[in-house]
Amino acid sequence: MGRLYQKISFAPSCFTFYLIVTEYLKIADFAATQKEDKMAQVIINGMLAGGVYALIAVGLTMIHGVMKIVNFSQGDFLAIGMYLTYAAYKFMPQGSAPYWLMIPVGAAMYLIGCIIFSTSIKKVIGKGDSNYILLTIGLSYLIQNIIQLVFGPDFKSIDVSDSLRYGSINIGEAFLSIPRVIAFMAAAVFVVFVNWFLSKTDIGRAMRATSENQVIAESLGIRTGRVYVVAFSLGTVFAGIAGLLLSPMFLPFPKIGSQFSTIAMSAMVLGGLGNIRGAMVGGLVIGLVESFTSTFISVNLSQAAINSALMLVLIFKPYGLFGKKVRAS
Amino acid sequence: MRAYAEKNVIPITFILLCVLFPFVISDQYLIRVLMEVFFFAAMGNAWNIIGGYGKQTSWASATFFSVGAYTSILLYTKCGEISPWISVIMGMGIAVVLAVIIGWPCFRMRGVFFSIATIACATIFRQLLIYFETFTGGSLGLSFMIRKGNSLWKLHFDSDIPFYFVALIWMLITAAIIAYIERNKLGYYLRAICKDQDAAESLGIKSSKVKLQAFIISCMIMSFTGTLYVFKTGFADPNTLASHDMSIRIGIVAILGGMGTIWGPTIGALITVPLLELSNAYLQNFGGGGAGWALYGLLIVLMVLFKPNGIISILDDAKNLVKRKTYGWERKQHESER
Repeated sequence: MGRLYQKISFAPSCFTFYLIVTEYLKIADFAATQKEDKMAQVIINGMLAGGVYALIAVGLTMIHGVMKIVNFSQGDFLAIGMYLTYAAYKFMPQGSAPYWLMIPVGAAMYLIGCIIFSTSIKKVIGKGDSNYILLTIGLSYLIQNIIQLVFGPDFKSIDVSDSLRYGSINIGEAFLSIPRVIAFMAAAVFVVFVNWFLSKTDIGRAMRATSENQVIAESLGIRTGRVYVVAFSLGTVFAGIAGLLLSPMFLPFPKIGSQFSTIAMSAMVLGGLGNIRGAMVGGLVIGLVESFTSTFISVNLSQAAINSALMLVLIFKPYGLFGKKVRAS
Repeated sequence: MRAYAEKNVIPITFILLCVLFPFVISDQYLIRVLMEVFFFAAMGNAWNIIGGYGKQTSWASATFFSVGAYTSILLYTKCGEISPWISVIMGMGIAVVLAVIIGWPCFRMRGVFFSIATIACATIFRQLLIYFETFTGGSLGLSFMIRKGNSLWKLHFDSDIPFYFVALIWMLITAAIIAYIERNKLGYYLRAICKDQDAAESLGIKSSKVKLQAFIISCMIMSFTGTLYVFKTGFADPNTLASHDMSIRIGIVAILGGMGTIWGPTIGALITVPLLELSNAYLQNFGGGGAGWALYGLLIVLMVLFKPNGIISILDDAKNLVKRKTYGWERKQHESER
């Protein structure tokens, strides 16, 4: 009986898989004839962009997992990272790669995260959704406009060498743009580092304990206040590093953060709040959705497609792909 | 009557001042700023129904605002100058349909999921507005001539003063709607849901239905305000009307003033709108610009940290202080027991 049920339930999933494969072949066929074999290129572009989105989303998830706060100003921390790179790059020799700045920018971001946490975020932990939403939105306006006050409203350009900015590696038909590849690799290294950090180090274990249950973690002797500072600052460091990695590809301007804020939040929610693996998958999915829509439909609709994907997931799984149900209030 | 007047002395003086203002001060700029205040107060009132009483922090307000604005501007420019008083009804109808489409999936989510889902819906709407260029004018927007003679039917006036009164009356109507809902069954249901949704549902309140009702009322008011606003400016474009900033400004008007109170959004609008307008006008050339918005962000941060119940709580504190000074400590304790 059980075997029969297994066979029956296996049939529709096989059929769906067959359908998906044929559909995929159709699109690929279409792409081969109409768009000069863009399929591989589109998938590669999506994955490369998704890696960086995953890094931002992992920072956001770290903050949310430990202190149950969604940071609406995460994208603006990314903008701070970009502008710090821009400001520090002037002291670098002409034409060198900006990736050497990773350590000073990371340290500066850690400091900024500590300062912002201890002056403001600390006071809204555990005080309800609308408080932290409002506070982080206020912070985002403050950061955007302080950047504008200091650097001006126009686009800035970081003068990296042309071989870095426009360089590419050819694999068969597809082109891999070098800054995107480096950004993806660095993001992957950071994500692996986060997994190691959370499972193997003492402070990482303390973080996971705090995210499970703060009161019990405190009773076990974990200083949750310190854990909060580290988690928030690491979240800002990841955003800042993502900004540095993106700086050869994007021209920084004060409001550049808001688009990344929404993308990172979508990635995080798609995967399920407070779930690092979910955030990684969410980032990759969003990168793919973005590159598919902007190539095959229209660049103007890429944001709409990302958000439609998010809404679809939320309608069928209201707590995200890997999320668990929690009781309100 | 007299007791009522004594109890509501601040709102009544405020309304009287607003009515007298254009006759005393003839500065066009200040009148325009006040008009903006009234529009934002009306939208803050609409937001307050769902965001203040129901604690469902929605950031899709700009969507419904631009639904009203675009419906009436399209009907006016492309269908032969249809009067705003007709198109406002159609705009409200479209807003109701859209509110059901957006609200049905969103209200099954809770807390921050709801907020992010509304942001996603608003983004989709804005992108679609930009994408269907031939119909909506794309990111350039649509515009028409205003100030072509005096006509209440077509909402054209040669000066700003009649429009000032239209805006003032609309703001007072929205405040009255809030006051009615607060004393009504819907208000009690919403407050019960925002305290504990599971407990409210166990008592037989269908939370998604109640939230959807409140959301529909709120969206209709926003759509109406959008129509009035677009006939004041004669211009609609997706990057200001339907932007994320606009949603946030609407929400913050209510949150800063005091969520879940009748006059909170009005006070919030009276503070935030002039702050932005005046600082953008006078601090334009300070540094790289953007000082006004930085002040705005700083105000939000400071309010959340030190007065999370809004500006209206400062007024309440002041009132209590005055009472304590005049009647002594006992009177206040007695009142709080009651």
